[in-house]
Amino acid sequence: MKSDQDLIHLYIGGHEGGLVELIRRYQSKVYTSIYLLVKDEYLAEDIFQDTFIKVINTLKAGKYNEEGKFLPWVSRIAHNLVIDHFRREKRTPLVSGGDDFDIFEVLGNYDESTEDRMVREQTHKDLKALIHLLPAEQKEVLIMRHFGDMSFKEIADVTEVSINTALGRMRYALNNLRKMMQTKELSLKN
Amino acid sequence: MGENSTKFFNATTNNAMVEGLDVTEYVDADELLFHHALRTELDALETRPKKQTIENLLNYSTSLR
Repeated sequence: MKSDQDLIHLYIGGHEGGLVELIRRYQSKVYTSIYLLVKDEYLAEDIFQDTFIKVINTLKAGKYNEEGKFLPWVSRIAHNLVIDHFRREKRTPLVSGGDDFDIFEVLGNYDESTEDRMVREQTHKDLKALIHLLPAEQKEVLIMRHFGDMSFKEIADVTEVSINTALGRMRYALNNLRKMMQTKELSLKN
Repeated sequence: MGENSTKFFNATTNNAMVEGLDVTEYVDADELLFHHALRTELDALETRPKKQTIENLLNYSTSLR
């Protein structure tokens, strides 16, 4: 399998296939992280598109810094665009649950019973709702860390806090999720 | 094993030292199990953007040639 750097070089060298593979590789992580922050499917599509337009423009201009990893770099761009959006809207990300529409129901079919599938779908729905109940700064760190593959140093830089604060927010996020799951008697598969 | 387990209890106050650490490196075993289980569920939440969005991007890229 070609590395991200190989694909970037291919793309810069004129092979569109490099970009196709990079998008295929990371579209889910980038899109999901945006969606979990904005809670709006259409807005998430727009921000996802704007993110990769910036990626394309930067790569084409030869301005990509090869020292960094590709996914954290893209995630940083996406996060900044989300922040720009909220600044324009002059509001903070929603922290309440209650979104009935579940795009995560569109998952692959596994060889499982209807009951198992229903339990799995309900677990995902509950987990998504619990993530939205987290304070915005904790949700942000959890999403950047998990889906964006960003280091705590990178998260700290983007959110303009110390590394210890970023680490602390992650711990609070995990502890809060755990407590909420216990309260709701929601269990995770180990 | 001994070397790894001591990391769980390390105080983290120095930025340079903390930079390379994961949050799981200073939590207890119970929290670690929860974190791993949560990761699996978070992975399962992943979903894709619409095909049309991807096509728009590829068309945009091609238009710059």
